Amino acid sequence: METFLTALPLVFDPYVLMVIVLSGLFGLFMGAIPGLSATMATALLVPVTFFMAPVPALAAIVTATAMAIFAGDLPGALLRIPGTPASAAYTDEAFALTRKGKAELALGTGLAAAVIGGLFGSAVLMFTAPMLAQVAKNFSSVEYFWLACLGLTCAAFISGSDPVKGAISLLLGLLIATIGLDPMSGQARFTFGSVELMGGISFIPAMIGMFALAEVLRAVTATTPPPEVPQVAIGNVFRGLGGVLSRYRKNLMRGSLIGAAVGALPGAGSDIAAWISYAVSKKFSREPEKFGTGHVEGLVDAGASNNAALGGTWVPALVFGIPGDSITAIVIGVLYLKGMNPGPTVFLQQPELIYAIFITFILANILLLPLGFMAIKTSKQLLRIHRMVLMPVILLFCMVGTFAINNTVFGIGILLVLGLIAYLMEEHGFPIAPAILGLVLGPLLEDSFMTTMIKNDGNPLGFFERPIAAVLGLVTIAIWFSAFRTRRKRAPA
Amino acid sequence: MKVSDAISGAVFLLLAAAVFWFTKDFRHMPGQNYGASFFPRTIATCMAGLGLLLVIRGLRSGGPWAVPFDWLRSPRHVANFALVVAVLVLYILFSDWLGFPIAGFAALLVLLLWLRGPAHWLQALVVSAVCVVGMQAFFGEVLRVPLPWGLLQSVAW
Repeated sequence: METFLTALPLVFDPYVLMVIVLSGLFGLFMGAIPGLSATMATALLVPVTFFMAPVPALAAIVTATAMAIFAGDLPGALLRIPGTPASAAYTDEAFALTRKGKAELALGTGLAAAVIGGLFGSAVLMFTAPMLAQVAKNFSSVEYFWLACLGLTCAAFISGSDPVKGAISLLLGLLIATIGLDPMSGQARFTFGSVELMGGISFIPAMIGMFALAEVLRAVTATTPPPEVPQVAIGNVFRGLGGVLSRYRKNLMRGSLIGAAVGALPGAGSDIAAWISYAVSKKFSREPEKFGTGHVEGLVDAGASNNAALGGTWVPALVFGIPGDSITAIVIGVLYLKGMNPGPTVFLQQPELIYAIFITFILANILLLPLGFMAIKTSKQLLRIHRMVLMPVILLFCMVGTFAINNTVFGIGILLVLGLIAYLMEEHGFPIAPAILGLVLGPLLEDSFMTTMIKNDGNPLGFFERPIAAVLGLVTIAIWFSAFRTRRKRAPA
Repeated sequence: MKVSDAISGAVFLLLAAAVFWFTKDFRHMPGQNYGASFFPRTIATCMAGLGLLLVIRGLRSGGPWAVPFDWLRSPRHVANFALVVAVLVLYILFSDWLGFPIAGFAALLVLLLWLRGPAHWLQALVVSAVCVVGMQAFFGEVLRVPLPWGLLQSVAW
């Protein structure tokens, strides 16, 4: 409680509050435009947060992502295109409601469910993270090695439809992370005589390239024209909402619970939470036949779920430094930049910062109500902004943001190369998120791996000598085998 | 060009081989029989295995070796792609000399005129000017990023 009180003034500071409101507006904008995701919003925010103190920097990311996940519902309901992947699960349902002339009900439900789910996710984060941190205090390099492996494994296998490609993407990220001076021996690796590569591939240009430039390239090569914004009037967003929320209050709780739990799993985030919740909602509904025809029930579940997942994904990120999804992979990179090395020690050494993050989560989700309402009201204007005007502006922002990190154009080179690689990879069905996770976790993985090797004199059995490590290790290896076995069974050879 | 799994798998196999080649001269740590090459080589071994799996899968599925991306058939879209890459390369080469205001404005204007169409030239001019001034003010002044002024050094704020 005392820490909570010391954390309050850190957040309720005029500068931090201003950052929260501005990043909230930015997040709504990014989420509402199809093709710009919450991940991209985070990627573009990072060069700006680079110059901020830890609390406003993290507050900006928390707020922008919470807003973006909700705002993804807007084009979903109005254009049948999910604004972010997290809204994809129920886009058809929301659009069907719009076609029935109930756009305001779809959007109002989405907003209310997002606020409630988001608050629930925040509560889960507040209560579970400090408890888990107590457990994690006893971990040594072996446990961290296996936790990193487990997180990366889940990310590789869950994020794409093909575990082999997910795993290759992850390995590529790990390999990129080894570029530069080896911290153990001082050996220069894969630098090819370049002084700039000695410091390694900076995570920020790499991430902006892989998430933002690749998206710009996809947009300028899209051969299908953007859809027309329909001329629907959006009436009173809150009309009939009370009835929906009280009728489906169980769905709200269930969606929130599933969201927070799925989010907390390494490798799964809001997108998967929404898909699962929507499916569960349909399965246990009294009127499953109405699903897909413009029925609001699934929206309640999934809309709460994807925002609840956001809080959940921060649990493993803060406690173990293991990202739950691509957004928290970026967050972990930011935490390291801010000197708040994620893990149990940060809960002991800087608890007020952790509590400030919790408070921001609650604040952001409360703020979602007025800002989200405003976004719904202006959504038609927002969606009318031409994509070909937006993309060049985003590109210039990427270039300036990348330059801002090291003050050299070398970063823009990294942006370009990795952006092209990411574009090609995605076109060939290789997911990008595992590569970013690999890039972020690579140094930790190598460090814990080499430390354990040296401690055990090069004996690989050392990775299984401590009980928790042995369990984590066996689980990880079991996932590896099961993922490839199911794949082989599924693939008609 | 969208290539088959067999080819993309082969690319990763080659990459893994390159890792082995470029780590061959790394020294071991004193008193240990492994060193800086150990971790990259472990990754490369896994990558080679998975690459091989992709090659086998690609060969078995027997699809075409390569299919061009849809947009490669449209010269307009090819030009879009090339222009984005060219703008980045030119910006890397000349932004220091030209300075951010000129290079940024030119980059944005060219992209807008081409992507949105020359009919919207006024919009392109306004958007480019507002964005460059805004970014210079925000990054250069608020965040104190030393964006180069280049040719406009004499009028720098």
